[in-house]
Amino acid sequence: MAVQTSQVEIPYLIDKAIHKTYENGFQFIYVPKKGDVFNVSTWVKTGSIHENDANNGVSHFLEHLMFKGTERFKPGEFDKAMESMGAVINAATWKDFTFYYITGPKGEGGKNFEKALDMHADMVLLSTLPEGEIGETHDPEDANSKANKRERGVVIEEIGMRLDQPWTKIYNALNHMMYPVGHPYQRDVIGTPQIIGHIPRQEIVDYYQTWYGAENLTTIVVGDFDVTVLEEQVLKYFDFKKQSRKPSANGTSFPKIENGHKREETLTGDYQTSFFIMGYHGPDSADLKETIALDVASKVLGEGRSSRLYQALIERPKAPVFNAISSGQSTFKLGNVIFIQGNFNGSDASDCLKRVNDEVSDYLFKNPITPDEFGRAVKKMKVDFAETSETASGIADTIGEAVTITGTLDSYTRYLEVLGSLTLEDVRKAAVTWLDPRRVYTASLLPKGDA
Amino acid sequence: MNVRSMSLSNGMTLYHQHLAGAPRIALNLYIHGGNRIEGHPGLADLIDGLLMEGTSTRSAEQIAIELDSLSLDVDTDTRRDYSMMGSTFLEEDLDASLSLMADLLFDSTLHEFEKEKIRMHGELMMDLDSPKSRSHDLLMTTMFAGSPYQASHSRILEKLPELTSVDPLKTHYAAAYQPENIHMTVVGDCNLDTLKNQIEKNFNRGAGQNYAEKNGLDVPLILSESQYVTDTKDDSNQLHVYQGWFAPLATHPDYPAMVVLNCILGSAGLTSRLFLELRDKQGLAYNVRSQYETSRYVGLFYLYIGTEPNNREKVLKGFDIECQKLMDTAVGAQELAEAKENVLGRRVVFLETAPQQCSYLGSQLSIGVSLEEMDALPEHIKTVSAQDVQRVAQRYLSQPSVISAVGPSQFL
Repeated sequence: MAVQTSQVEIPYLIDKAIHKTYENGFQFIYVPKKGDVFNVSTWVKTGSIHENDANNGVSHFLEHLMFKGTERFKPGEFDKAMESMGAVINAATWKDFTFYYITGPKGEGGKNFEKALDMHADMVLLSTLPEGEIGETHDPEDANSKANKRERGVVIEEIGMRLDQPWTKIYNALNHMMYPVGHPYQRDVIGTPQIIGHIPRQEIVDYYQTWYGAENLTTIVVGDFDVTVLEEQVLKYFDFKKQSRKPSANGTSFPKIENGHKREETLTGDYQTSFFIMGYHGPDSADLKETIALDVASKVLGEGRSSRLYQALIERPKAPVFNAISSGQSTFKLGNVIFIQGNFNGSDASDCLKRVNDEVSDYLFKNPITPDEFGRAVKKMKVDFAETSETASGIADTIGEAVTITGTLDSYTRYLEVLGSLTLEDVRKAAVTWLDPRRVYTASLLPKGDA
Repeated sequence: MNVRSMSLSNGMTLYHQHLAGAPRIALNLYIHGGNRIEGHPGLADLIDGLLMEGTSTRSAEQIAIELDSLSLDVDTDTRRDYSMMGSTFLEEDLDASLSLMADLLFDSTLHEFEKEKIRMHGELMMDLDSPKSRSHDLLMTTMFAGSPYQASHSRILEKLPELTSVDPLKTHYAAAYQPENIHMTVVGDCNLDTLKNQIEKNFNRGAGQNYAEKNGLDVPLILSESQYVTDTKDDSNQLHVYQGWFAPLATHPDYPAMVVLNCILGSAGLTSRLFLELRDKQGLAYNVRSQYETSRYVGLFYLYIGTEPNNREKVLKGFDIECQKLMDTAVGAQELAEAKENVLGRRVVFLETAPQQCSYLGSQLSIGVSLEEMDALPEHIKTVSAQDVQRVAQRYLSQPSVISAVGPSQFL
């Protein structure tokens, strides 16, 4: 039985959503949306935030292994059943969360949904993580290794793929500066080849049994269903009594985030252009007003062709050196981060980065956001928000992230209300508070030989 | 699909689909021709950028501000057979959005030519800093060498310095950007009469003539021999390998069977043969897949894998074995049925929103697929047999192919 039930207004949708929390802490959210497509997803309140130097990457590796079967469904059976109905299935792991989803056509009479819900719940609660599917432990640097690598090999390839992306390289370098040693946000979510090559199955099982309990799960269904029938189905398939559990780890503490001593890092590589990313620590993600005010400030500063940075660095120069420039805010449980990232020709990083910093300073102190800019940004953000309501997966993703990171649905359901209540002064103040030029961290990747 | 089409008084054709409850209207304009008729690689792409750089009555900054004020999202893009101006906006902004888009489309000054060249050069260089993009570019450059479809990134970069005057752009713009050469697709929750009236009012230009259709491709593209092409990127962690063949057009009778083959071999998410064999069983890759894309005069089918550089022989052998299996043995009844359901189900999922439907409709029309053919495709998919899949595998995958590989030199 639910111990707490609330009906929630969802922006741009006609019917209210139902949000239930049960005695065991499990949360279920149903968002009614007309159409032929459904989405079912389960959000787990763990990611690299609960890892350490020895098991970094275990959340993401586990996410891969969750697709490797249960007692009822052998490996591959879930994938096959879902994809043969045309559903898109996948999962993602980030710092604060891991989630699993199915987006599919309802089919005649909604025949596809119950099967999807059944198999999804079975996977989330009762994955068996078979040794044979995980693969043999091995040294990833040993080119002659005869180990049967299976999913370990897949994840090690994924790490290699990520490191071939220049943006990932500088993002990782930035996190190394922004967070102290031992802080989970300092590490790359995906881990390292050595850890993935060697981590024993039992450690993965222990992690699964620790973090995938009812109190850490939220299941979201978006689609056109009878809510009474739907709740019965959800409770039937999410039968937590069948789970093997370890006590949930409570009271995790994290190293305090302080202003680091190192604020700049320059990497080099086989590149023709230069990449950079700047980061500033931002407000608490639960502080809705400050977070959204900073979103508005970021929008005017660096989002879109009318933004300050785009106009100054790309649009107005007769011979632009910059190829890309943008800004944005990411919300995290342990504090948001504001990013400015870009790409420029050549390798004169000191000049290019100075120009970016000068524009930010101009925006903060000389020519702050104008009423026109404020009005346009607010309207644009309302329309952008409408876009997330167009798809079942867009709604589920926004709600899932909100409830998992901040603990409530407010950042989704109250977004338009808070956005509408902001003043120009709120936004100016947020910009000055969080984009302080003395607190910026910068990572660059320059063409080798030019740096 | 329940699409209504109508000719407008200016010669433009409008295709409209009503989507109840859609919060935004999606409206796309397709200028026929694209890379195929541009003459100089990248010329049409340069015009795409310049359309946002000023008209006779608006500066670039004014355009950017006006777009934001209207919450109008506009993007431009050129593909092999068309240039496209896509947009989304709220119904309350219909009139103002159409007015601005008509101005951008028909009254561009093309004044910032030199700046746009610099910008395009930088953006293409940035993209080619990814080894995967470089391998894809190498595949495209090789397959389309000598054809009108040769606007790969590296080819554009190579030929950009030769474009020393804006005059060829002006000639192309004057010829191609006229109503008779454009069709418009609109999907959303809007009144058709109002929409039609507003379009007639705002896009009230002389009809001109259909320019692109005089410039077809008479001779089909073929590869006379297989090629293996490489590029070095020594600090790459992976070897990025593509293998491509020419394939049937979307209007060809073999198209439905090729779509099903693509699903079975490599486009189904986690259940394709390439995924199961090279990723699941052998652990050789995170990303391995196939893709089938069609243009008006050419179809392209290709495989991709990103793998540890030592694995080159294993993955090329893996590609060969899986293609050969499709040619040698008819797929089983269950695998065939599941692939067809996958293709049909994904159509529903990927056509959920107004912008998705608008883009699908417009791009298919641009490559010569009629509304009737679009409507008939699900039925044609359902009738594909195991023998059909085997036949198209034999017909297309036995032809010469191009393999491109980018990675550290000692592994190429």
